[in-house]
Parts: sequence; C-alpha cells; structure tokens
Amino acid sequence: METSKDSSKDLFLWQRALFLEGQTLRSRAESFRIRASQLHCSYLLNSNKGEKLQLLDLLNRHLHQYSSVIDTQDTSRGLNNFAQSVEAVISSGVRGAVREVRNDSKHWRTGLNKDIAMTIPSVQELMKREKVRDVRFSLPNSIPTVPPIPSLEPHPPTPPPLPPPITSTKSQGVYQTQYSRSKSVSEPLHEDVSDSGRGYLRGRGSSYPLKDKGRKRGHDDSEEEEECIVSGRGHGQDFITAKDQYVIDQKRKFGRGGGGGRVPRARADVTSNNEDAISLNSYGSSKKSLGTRRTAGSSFVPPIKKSDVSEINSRVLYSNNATGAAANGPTVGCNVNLPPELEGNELLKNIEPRMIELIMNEIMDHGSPIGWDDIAGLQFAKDTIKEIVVWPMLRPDIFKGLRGPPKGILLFGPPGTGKTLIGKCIASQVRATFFSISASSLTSKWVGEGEKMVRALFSVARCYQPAVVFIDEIDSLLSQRSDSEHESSRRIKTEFLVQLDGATTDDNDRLLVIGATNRPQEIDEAARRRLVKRLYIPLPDSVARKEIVLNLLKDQKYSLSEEDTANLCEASKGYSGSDMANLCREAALGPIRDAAHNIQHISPDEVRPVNYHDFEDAFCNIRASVSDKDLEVYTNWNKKYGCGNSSSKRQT
Amino acid sequence: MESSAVSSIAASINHQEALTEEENIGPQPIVKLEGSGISANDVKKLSEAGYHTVESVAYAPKKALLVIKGISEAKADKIQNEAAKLVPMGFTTATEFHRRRSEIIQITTGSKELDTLLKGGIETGSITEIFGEFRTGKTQLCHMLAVTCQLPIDNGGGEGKCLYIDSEGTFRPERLLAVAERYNLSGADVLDNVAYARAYNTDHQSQLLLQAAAMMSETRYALLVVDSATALYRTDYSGRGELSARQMHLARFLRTLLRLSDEFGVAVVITNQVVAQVDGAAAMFSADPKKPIGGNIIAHASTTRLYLRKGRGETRICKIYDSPCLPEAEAMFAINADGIGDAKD
Repeated sequence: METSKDSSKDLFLWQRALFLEGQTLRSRAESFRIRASQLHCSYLLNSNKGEKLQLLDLLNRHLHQYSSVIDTQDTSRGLNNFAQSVEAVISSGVRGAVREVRNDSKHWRTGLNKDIAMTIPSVQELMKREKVRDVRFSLPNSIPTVPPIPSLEPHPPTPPPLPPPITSTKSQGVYQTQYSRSKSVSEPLHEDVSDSGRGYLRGRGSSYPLKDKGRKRGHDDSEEEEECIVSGRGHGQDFITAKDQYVIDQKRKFGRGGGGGRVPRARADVTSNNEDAISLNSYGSSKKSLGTRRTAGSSFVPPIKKSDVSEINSRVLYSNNATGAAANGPTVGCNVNLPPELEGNELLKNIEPRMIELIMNEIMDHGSPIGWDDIAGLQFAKDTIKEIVVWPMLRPDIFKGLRGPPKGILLFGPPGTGKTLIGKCIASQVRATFFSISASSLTSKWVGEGEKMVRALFSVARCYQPAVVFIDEIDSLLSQRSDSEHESSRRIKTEFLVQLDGATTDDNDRLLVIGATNRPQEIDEAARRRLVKRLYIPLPDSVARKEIVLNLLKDQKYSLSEEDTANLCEASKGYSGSDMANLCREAALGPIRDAAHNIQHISPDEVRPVNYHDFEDAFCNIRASVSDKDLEVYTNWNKKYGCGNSSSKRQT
Repeated sequence: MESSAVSSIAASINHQEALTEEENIGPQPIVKLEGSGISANDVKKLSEAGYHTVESVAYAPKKALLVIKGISEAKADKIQNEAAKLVPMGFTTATEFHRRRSEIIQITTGSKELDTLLKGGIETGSITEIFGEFRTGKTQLCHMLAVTCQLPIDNGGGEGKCLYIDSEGTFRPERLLAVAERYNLSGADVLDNVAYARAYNTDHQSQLLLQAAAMMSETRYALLVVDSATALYRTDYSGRGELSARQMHLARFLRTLLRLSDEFGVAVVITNQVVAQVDGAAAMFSADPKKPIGGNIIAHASTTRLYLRKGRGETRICKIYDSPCLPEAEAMFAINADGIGDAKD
C-alpha cells in the first residue's frame, strides 16, 4: 500500500517535471516552477526512480533555465533580485563607505566592491542568515526546507512539495549539493553584488535612449550642447526649435566638426533683396488681430537683424483690389476698373467689362477744335444739324414727344465734301459724349463678339446720355444684306438695326447716330429708314469755293484781286472741298519752287506772295476728283431718299 | 543717433501697448477660472488634461470633461457654466462679425500672384489644406510660411512664432535660413521662433497637439503647420476593415486643429497627399484623376483647400479647390532658391 502510494506520487512528479517544462510563465512564477521541478528531479534521482540519465539531463536543463531567468538583465522578463537591494543600498545612502560610492558610468562598473558591501548592515545581516541556513542544511536528518517561497505568488504552479523524509545519508549528500548550487543563484550573495548592479544600471540606461546616445558619442562638447538642448525645452518635450533641429542636422551631416552647427550669419552687405527692409518699429504698429483672437503674453522675438537700423521704405499693403469685381458679373477674373458712374448700372449688367473698356476707349474728348464757321457753305446741312443736335441740348423740355430729335442722320455725298468735317465739328461743338466708331472697333476675330460689341456700344452710349455716335464710312457696317455675305457680318448689321430702333429702345433716349458715306445706294434699306435725316452734302458752290480758298490762304501772303478769285472760282467748278484744298496747297508751293535755287539761304519773309499765276499752274496738276456721272448718282439718290431737296435747288 | 534712440523707445512703448491690448483680447488662461469659484486643484487637473484656456473648456463637450480623472458630473457642469460666463458664446450681429473678419491677419505666401488669388494670403483662424502630388511645392510652401508668419503684420506676416509638426521627415531648417535672407531677417532668430516636432505615429501626432495647446497658451503663435497630416494615417491603418477607425481618428485630429485655430487664432496649414483613381469611369474621362486622401472627413474639416500642380520648370500652379469666399481660379508661382516667388516669364 505504502509503496504503491509512493510510486503513484513519484509518477505524478515525474510527469510534471517532464511536461510542465514547455510552458513559459512570468518571471517570478517561472522561477518557482523551475525550482520545484528541479527539486522533484533531484528527489527522483535520489530515490532511483525513473531513468537516471534522462533525469540528470533534465536537471541540467533546469539549472540553465533557472539561471537564465534569474540572471537576465532585462528587468521586465527576468527576476533580477539583486537589483532592488543594491538600489536600496545606494539610494538610502548608507552612512560611511557607500556614500562615496560613485558609479563609473563610462565603463558601467559599480564602485560597490566586496569590502564596501560587507560593511553594509543589511548585507551583514543577510550573511548571518545564510550562515544559519547553511548550518541548518548541513545538519543530518533535518528536513531540508525548500527555500522560502513568497506568499504573494499569484498562481503557484505547484504547491511547494514537501520532500519526503530522507533517511539515507548517501542521498542526502547529493541533495545538499544540488540545493546549495541552486541557492547560489537564488540568494543575493556579496560576490554577485557588483555584477548585478551593473546589469541593473544598464537596464535603466537603455530606457533613456536619447541621453544614452549622447553619451555613446562620447564627445564632450557635443554632450554639453545636447544637454543644453534638453534643458532648454520648455514643456512640450517633443517640440524643439528649428535651430536645434538645424544643429542636429548639421552635426549629422558634417560629423562633430566645430562650427558646423552654427547658424550662418546672414551677410549684411547683401542689399539686393527686393523685399522691404523690416525693423523693430514695424512690429506692433498694426491694429489688426491674429485670427479671431490674440494670444496672451508674447515671448515672440521679432527676427530683426541686430545691425539693421534702416527704416521701412514703403509698406506692402494688400488692399482688396477686387472691389469692382463684384459688379463685373461673371468674369471676375479680369480686373477692369470701371469709372464709378458705370458701376452697378442696369444697362451694363450682362456685358463683359473688357468690352465696356474697349468702347470707352472710342469716346472722343479731345478733338481738334473746329467751329461751324470753319465749314464753308453747306448752310442747309449745318442748319439741320444744329436743329437736330444743338437745340435739343439747350431745351430738352421742348424737344420731346413729336418734336423729339431724330435718332439718326445720314450724311452722304461725293468724297471730300466735308462729311467727316461735320462730324468733327459736332464732336467739338456739342457738349455730348461723342463716340467715333469705325468697323475696326466693333468687329472681332471671334464669332459672336462683334454683335456683343455693338450692344455694348449702345449700352454705354445710353449710360452717357446725351450721346452722339458718329460712324464714318457707314457702308462698311451697314451695307445691303445679301445671300452671299457672311453670317457674322449679317448679325452685326441686324444687331445694329435692333439697337438703333428696336423693341428695347426708348423714345426718350437722347442718343443720335450720325453716319457718313459716299455710297448711299449701298446702305441697307432698313438702316436707311432708321437714319431719318438723310442730308446730301454736295460739292461746294462758287461762293463756298471762294470761302475755302480765302480760308486756306489766310495764313499765307497772297496777292489775288477780286477778279482773280472770281476767275479761280469759275475755273474750279466741279472741284470738291478737298480738291480745293489740294489746289491751294499746290499753288502755295509755287513761290517756293521759284526760289528753289536758294532754298537753303532764303528767309521766310523773302518768299514772294502767292499769285494767280501759281493757281493757273496748279490747275494743270490738280483735277477734279468727282465726275458729273458720279454726281448724277448722288443727286438721283437724293431726289429719291434725301431730305431737303431745297438745298439742291438752291445749288442749281 | 538721438532720433534712432527716440524711435526705438517709441517702438517699445508701442509694443507694450500692443501687449496689454493682447491680454484684453486674447484667450484667457485657465487660471482665470479660479477667480470664479473653481478650486485650484480642479484647475490644475484641467490644465494637466490639456485645457489651458477658459475657451478650451467652454468649447469642449461635457463628455470630454467627464473623462478627466477627478471631475465629477456636477463639477463639470459648474466648470462649464463658469467658463461660459467668461467666454461669449451667444449670437452676434453680422456687422460685428464682419468687423472682426476684416481685422483678420493674412500671412503672405511670398508670391504676389498667389497672394492675389488668396486675397492676401493664408488666412489665420482657419484651416488651409494644401494637397498635390509629390514635388508640387507643398513642403516648400510650408517652409515659406514658417518664416513669413514672423514678419510684421503690415508686411504680410503674423508677428508670431511657428509650430511645425513634421510626419515625413522633410523639415529642412536651411530652407528657412534662405527665406530669412530674402526678407533680411536674422537667421538665428527665425529658427528660434520655429518650434519643430517630428511625429512618429498617429497617436503621437495627436498627442503633439496637446503640447502645442500648452505652448500656444504661453506665447504668441501665428502659424501651425502639419506637414502631411495624413501620411501616417495611410500606413498606420490599412484596408477597409480599419477605415472607420482611421477616419474617426483623423476627424478627432482635425477637430483638435480646428479648436486650436479657434482658440488661439493661429493659421493652421496642413498638407495632404493624393491618390490616383485608377478604376471606374472617373479615370477614363478626367485628364487628372488625382484626388486628395482622407475622404469627406478632411474635405469638410478644412476651410480652404488648395490644389498644387506642377508647371514648367520651377513654376507651380495653385488652384482653389474649395473655399467659402474665394472664386475658383488659378495662379502660378515659382519655387526659387529663396523660397516661393512670382513666376518669371
């Protein structure tokens, strides 16, 4: 019974020793587990149960494991039970010997040597206890108690087995040696103190990698610098200033070369910077706030160069230059500064600002001053225009409704008879906005742009009432519509017609369109209707021709009798105004030609006056540019469509 | 000689006046709560938990306060009530708000054209997101701003320090020195005014913001840069399984940024990476199938989004991708040796 019980127990222990081995537990529990298994093994070995070789092997392995658990320097994994006591000794600062103990961190060797350790009271006490235990163990027949197992073990893998009473002295010897061996690693012996201290400190050191690295670099200067960096941080241990980062970067790049980490001083002589110079005065002078709030207490250092005392030349002000952008409609991208009177105008709502600007450039406000008297003859045309343009300006209250001025005037006649001159005269004499438009200012290379330009023109003109739109050579824009013409030019024409008199036009608009052409028969019939007053500008009659000649010659010296001028006017029948001007020009050159041999020395006063002979010569060179046949076309057209046939009557 | 001394004295007086004014307007330190019946102990707990200003407490949800150890529900109520008394949180007129908006500082980017596009520069008190491919100038713009935020306000700066969180390891102080040279500033001071931290993972990145709040409550910061706010999220979270966790984390991070910009009025500039859309119809029909990562979370969180594109040579093109008030338009700038500038034709 007894033996069977024993053997079953032995079997249990044997199995346990074999199979528990594979498990890994936390350090403390594991150490106990290994020690227990060790004891079992030695017990089984002693009692000659199980295979001896295997047991010995197992025992050996246990020993290795045990020592690895105990001695490992990783505090998280191992059970380094020397460390605590050493730390206690050092930190408590034992009187006398240990106080001077300094850890030589460079070589990781503790100054706590054997002799000093022996003087520590706790060590002495420990030693005493050891001796007692040794004595106890050496006693024969005494129960070899398992080394004290702390009660705070969380999950004891095995309850500390009570080894069976050992009777044979032979087995006892073996047991004792085993135990003493295991004890040597489990108890903090003085021989091990220095060694364990080293392990402990090394473990601590590794938890501060940054400082450790600094040490390892081992350069005194760099160490000091780094220390400064560490101490220089406020809170926010993770944040360093960019300068520190720069120093670190430089060090990494150039090793620990002296001065590599220094921030290079910006050269003071560099004056090529196109930005404004900044001085201390420019800080804090602005009333603007940072975001929605300002921060409390500022330790911000204005980054001013210490040597820099120059004043600010000018300040970069970011004004909101897009004030007009809101009114400009969809195209905010381009910055066109419209005059204030145009901003927000209903009429310009859907018109691109760029176009408005182009049209604005066509406004003529500095034409050469030409008076009505500068136009010779053409009394009827002048009267009509005065009636249409000037009077309504003076009495807008009378000229309304049925008496309202016509919207369009067409000036037609042979070339060089003063149609354009009338336009210029209107521009300078009438205090209305004068738009001088030609085909080039309305057409564009983009399909559809031309129509928009026409629309923009009329919109702008309506904004600047009263306005006069003068279109020279109107046949270029408003020629007869036909099947063969291009679609886009047709659209410009129709847009023009719509704007002149369409559904959207207002009768009270004080807008006058003046067209001038010498091919009235080519004007589109719809345009013809809209240009209500069609004034024939005929060739100058003899009175007008005389006026022209005298007008042109008034700045020159001339000797012409009344008879001469009468002859002159007679001879120049059929000449247009510009022909007359050319004639006079030619004649005026006559005296110069006579003095050609002496042209370099002659004084202006010595030139002889222009006389009739010069004109006779000039008549040979200058011919009338308009034929009677041409004139017939105009007079026929005038009879058909023109107003004021009286003038033609008067002329004949 | 005399005149310069007088002017320097005048400047210092000016400066002091500005300081006192700042104290009136700026965020109120949490210590102020002690005056209204909150115990010093509780105030300490709050500031340890990352609440350094009265505003931060007032703006925080009650739930967040309850998480702090030692703050009970009743206490949290009381703290919030007191904080709400100190911080105006009610309605205001649009006129008032407009007046405040008109005083907002804008930090110049160094390029006139880009500044025109942004109507003055990077706006303080809000989040600006810059995204684009690599080599499109995101980091360069961040470096530039880190210096220009130290300029005087009249010169397009913010008169404050800069806080730089770098998650890609691309911070180069030499670039700051080059820019400082251009503005004729002292290089050493410019570097001293930039607080730099490297973020190693997403949690660390968020943790850095707590420190940032503490630092901002002490000194005046004008700019907070997070160079690549999303780089770490791309790798810390992978796959669809972790998508919602990643987005939540990102959203919290951005919320903290928004809080900082509200509280301290700093300009927050974050950069973002792009992802190419390789599948689906979008890739077939759009010429530029790149879009910012982070999804809707980051799209909603950032106030202004700028898309950078590479132009010819050193020129880059900036497009306004989203903004509450800027029109959709483009501007061209150049990356020069001395920072961002106008493109030379």
